[in-house]
Amino acid sequence: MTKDIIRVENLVKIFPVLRRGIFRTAQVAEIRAVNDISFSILRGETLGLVGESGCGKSTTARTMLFLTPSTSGSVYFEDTNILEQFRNARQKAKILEIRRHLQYVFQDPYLSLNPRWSIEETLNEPFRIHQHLPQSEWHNRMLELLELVGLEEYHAWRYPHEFSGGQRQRVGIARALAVDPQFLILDEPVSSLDVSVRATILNLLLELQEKLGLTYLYISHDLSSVRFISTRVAVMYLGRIVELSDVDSLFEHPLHHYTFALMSAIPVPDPSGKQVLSILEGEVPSVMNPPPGCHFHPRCSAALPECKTVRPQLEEKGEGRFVACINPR
Amino acid sequence: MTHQEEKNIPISKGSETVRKTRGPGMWRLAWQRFKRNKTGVFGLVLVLIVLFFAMVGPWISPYEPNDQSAMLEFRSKSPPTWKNLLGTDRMGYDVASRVIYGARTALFVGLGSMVVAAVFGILMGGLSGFTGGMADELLMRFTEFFLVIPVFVVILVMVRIFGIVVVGTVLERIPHLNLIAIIVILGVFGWPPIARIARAEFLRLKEMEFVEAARCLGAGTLNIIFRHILPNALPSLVVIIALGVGQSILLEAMISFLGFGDPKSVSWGQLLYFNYEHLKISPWASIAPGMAIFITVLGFNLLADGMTDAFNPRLKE
Repeated sequence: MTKDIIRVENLVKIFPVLRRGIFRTAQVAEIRAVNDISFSILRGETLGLVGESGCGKSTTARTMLFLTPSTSGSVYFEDTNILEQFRNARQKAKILEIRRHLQYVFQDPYLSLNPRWSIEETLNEPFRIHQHLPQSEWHNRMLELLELVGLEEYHAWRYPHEFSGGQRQRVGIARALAVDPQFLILDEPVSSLDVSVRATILNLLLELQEKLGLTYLYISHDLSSVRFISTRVAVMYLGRIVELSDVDSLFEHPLHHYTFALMSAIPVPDPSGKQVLSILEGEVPSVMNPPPGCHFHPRCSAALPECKTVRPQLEEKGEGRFVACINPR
Repeated sequence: MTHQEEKNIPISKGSETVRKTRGPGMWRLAWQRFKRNKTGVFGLVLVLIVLFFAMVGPWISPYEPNDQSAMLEFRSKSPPTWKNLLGTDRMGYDVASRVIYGARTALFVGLGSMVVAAVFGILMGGLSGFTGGMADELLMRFTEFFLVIPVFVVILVMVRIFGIVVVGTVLERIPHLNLIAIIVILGVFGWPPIARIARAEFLRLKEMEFVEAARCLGAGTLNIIFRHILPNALPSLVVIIALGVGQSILLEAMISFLGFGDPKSVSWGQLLYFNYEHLKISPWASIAPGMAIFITVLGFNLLADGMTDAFNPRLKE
């Protein structure tokens, strides 16, 4: 049963840094936001994607659904190269078909709902675009969706500004579910919410996954929520995946030195317990000019001379664990 | 499951009572904020007064606009009397009637030219902001070109040339042709501010997450522009258009005051043009249209100001 639902191969996204002149614009540098990454997501699992701000997590997700065009690489959904389909853009029906299976839940629920539309109108939009239901059933389906995400019928006539962040995020989830997708990208769905609301939204997501058999790509910089919701975790640093492993072994024994540093940054509720701290030295290097070899070597405590020249590939180290490091822990 | 007939009945839910009515939308909220803004409401009242006179003018004005009969009774240049509430001017016209009829022309010019300008401006600015890149550069340089040329002189020249060109052609038979020409020219030169606002709004909104969400659902470009971006850009555009109405009315008054206006239509600027030489003998004939211009332009400016506050409540707090 465990088969890939999504396979990402050698995905690259380069943003050119332009200097605008009067007569011509010159490219002065480039930002490799996503630097040749590959991974796959199994049906029914939740892959967590962690990393600090600016490491390319969201760009990865956005390029996967062609919200920003990729520079190179491919994304397969059930053996269809969807990036190629989006790029050709000839067959609108085919693209809508793909869009139906893959949906996106946005980070900021205050920005992700059209402020001019009532919830009813927002939830009817997927039906209008895809026409997968007869119009007579739109209302019933909308009520079903509201119930599914824990909202009440009367919420349908309200506008986004009348809702709290958590309720808005529920609407965002309901909109994504309106087209019966198989795969959801959750782009920091709880990071802009109050801590008390986070748990309820995360529980809702787990519940929905079980009920509807969804597959998630969960993006976050909040490690505790990643540990709570994910089955496997990929750690990103400066546009590359440095470690990919199942959640328990990653949190118990991280192999990459960067992952270890991240783990030790999780606050511990009990201050008396001894905590192995590994505080990183220095700043994250500029993405415009990343260090050669392993991007992490200037800040790594176990860097070898060849780390400066050789780019480590993501290799299997033990049962289902992948790490991109020459000298792992 | 469906209790649509109960939509407006308050239902009790635990201790709190939940209203099942539709909540206030963006426009309704803006109106609620607008109502609290005294200057904005004052502006709206002024505009409504002008609108009232423009609409019912022919029924309440005491004389026909072209009635010069006072001249025959040697009552020209008469100060305000019961017969002529605002007096008569040097050609025997009743000032009150002319001012009332002028409201019609002023609103026609203001709103008409802004319709032309809005269509141009939103098209240009929207295209520029939405596509970006080279098209954006070209369109914005074009807009700036229109912003830097001394528009007023160009308008005067164009109005005069147009007036000469149509002589002897079929076009001459169209009623109020000169006025229509002025309206179109004002519109054609009035679009750059609207285009700039439209561009800024399109640039801002096209990156918003709800637009991305629509794209992710598979919405087409036209769908996104007309259902998501344009309705959300409208509040800012309405403000700049209201401001533009006042400016157009003022510009038309200036054109007419310099004698370039439509001689067949009654306009406040033209009343000033006819009477300014007799300012010492019959000041009422100049003061009345001047006040009318002042009230109208002030009304539209205050209205625009009030709308800015109503649509962007955080701006002034």
